[in-house]
Amino acid sequence: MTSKKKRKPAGPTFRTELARRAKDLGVRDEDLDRALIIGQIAGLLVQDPALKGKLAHKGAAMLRLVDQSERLSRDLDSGEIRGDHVDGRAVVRALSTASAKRVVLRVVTNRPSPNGISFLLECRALRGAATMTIQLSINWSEPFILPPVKASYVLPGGQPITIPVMQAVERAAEKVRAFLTRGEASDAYDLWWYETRVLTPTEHLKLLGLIRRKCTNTVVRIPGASDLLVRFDAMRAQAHEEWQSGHGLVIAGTKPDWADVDRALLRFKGRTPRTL
Amino acid sequence: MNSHNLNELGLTQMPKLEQAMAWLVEHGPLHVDPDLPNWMLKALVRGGRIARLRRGLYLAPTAEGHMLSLPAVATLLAPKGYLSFYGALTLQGLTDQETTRWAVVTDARQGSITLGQQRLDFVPWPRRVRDADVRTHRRGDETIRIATPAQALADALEAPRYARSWPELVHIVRNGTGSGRLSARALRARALATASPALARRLGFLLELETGKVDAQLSALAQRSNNWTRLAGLGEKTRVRDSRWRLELPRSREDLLAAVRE
Repeated sequence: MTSKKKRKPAGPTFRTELARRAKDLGVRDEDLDRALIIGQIAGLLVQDPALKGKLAHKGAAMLRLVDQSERLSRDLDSGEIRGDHVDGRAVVRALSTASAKRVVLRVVTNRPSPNGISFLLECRALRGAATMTIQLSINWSEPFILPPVKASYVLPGGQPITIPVMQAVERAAEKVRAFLTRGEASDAYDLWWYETRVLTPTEHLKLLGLIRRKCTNTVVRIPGASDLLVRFDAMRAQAHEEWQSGHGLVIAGTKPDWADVDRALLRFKGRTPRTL
Repeated sequence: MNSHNLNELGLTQMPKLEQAMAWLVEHGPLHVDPDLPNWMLKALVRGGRIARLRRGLYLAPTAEGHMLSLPAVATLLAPKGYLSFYGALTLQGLTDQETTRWAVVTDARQGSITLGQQRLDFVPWPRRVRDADVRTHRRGDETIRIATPAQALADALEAPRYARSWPELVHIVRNGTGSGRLSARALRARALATASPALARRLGFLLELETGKVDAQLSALAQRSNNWTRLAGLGEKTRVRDSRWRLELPRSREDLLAAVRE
């Protein structure tokens, strides 16, 4: 008769701790993983000597990491602060260092456009599953209007990180322009988040001028710019359709009522000029 | 004190629930009409320990404590089917967006399943199941039968109610061709092999938006019949007609291109 040796339960590992922490936070371990990876990539980019002081981050990833939005996305948007061209090789180099290789397995450069460059980053999933693809976009179509600020956040692993970020009010103005251009439900959700959770009364006052300046950018052309308020209403209707269809909006928390979101949109409409 | 009294005091309920949970994990992760009393299933679902996917179908965690994702559940429910459309494209990293809507091509009809905010539809398409280009994707303890990017995009163009939006498809083609995971040649070959004018019209238009070039073979196939193809599901109302591709568009070309993410 053979005696079967009883296996001892394995002790906590990094992976089991990550799963436990995700459970404690009430999020999927994949989302926690993604937040960790995007946070690390954001930090790696601004540490590189060739990119230090040139790049600042913006977009949905910053709204999530810095402003605690509940919308999930897999991209990291960055901009060149002065609107200068960024050499794609510098980015590849920044993401190929020994410390970067712990996170990024492969960097695939997409075709560069006159206004920016994007990369698909194949990243090591910390929870031990297959790789995770994250898109990094760097844009230089326009210089920042306001000086970037330093934002700190704590990675879910516990270590603090400080990165340069476009000011929230300027990000909100860019979001209004994006909403006027494509009118997606996710843009409507982000504007609702800025309106209800992020912007201060002083920042609200700055918005009118910022939205006008963002919309006059000749690189990002808004269709139907002859009457931006009519365009705003058309995009509201389109976002409402998408909101109801359930496509394209993935949030970790409870989906807000459309009436609340629409109220926030109308406030942004009130700060949008009719003509440029 | 008899057992009836113990039950009334609730002293036997917890051990019974734990026993039921252990049985579900051991024989799981999927259970169709499990042989357990309703009160036990309800208590476990309410406690978030198992999930009710649809009437009579329950999902228990694996022995390692993981809940399978909906695409992995779909592979267990429809082993011959495959995950396709927009969900397959997001899962393979061709876009930076997320989705809560998944769809699986199957050989037989099945009811949809939901898990939290996520929903998975089964699309009966037996002819497509037979000749689709599919691979097996493993991540952690999950196995998912998934369409290749070209197949998923072709499926989404043929059944656009499972695509998200037209600008998003242009973004996917841009990402896919830029990273070498999609090629215009492979997509064209798939459309020509299907010999569907509707697919040729949508794909031809998509490639023209992305590359600025008109594909002669796709154009010839698109003009084979006199009817018009709508981009149903990609925008409900028709606002513009594109005579080159015989397509009814929800927005102008200029508007569609402006809405494409960088």
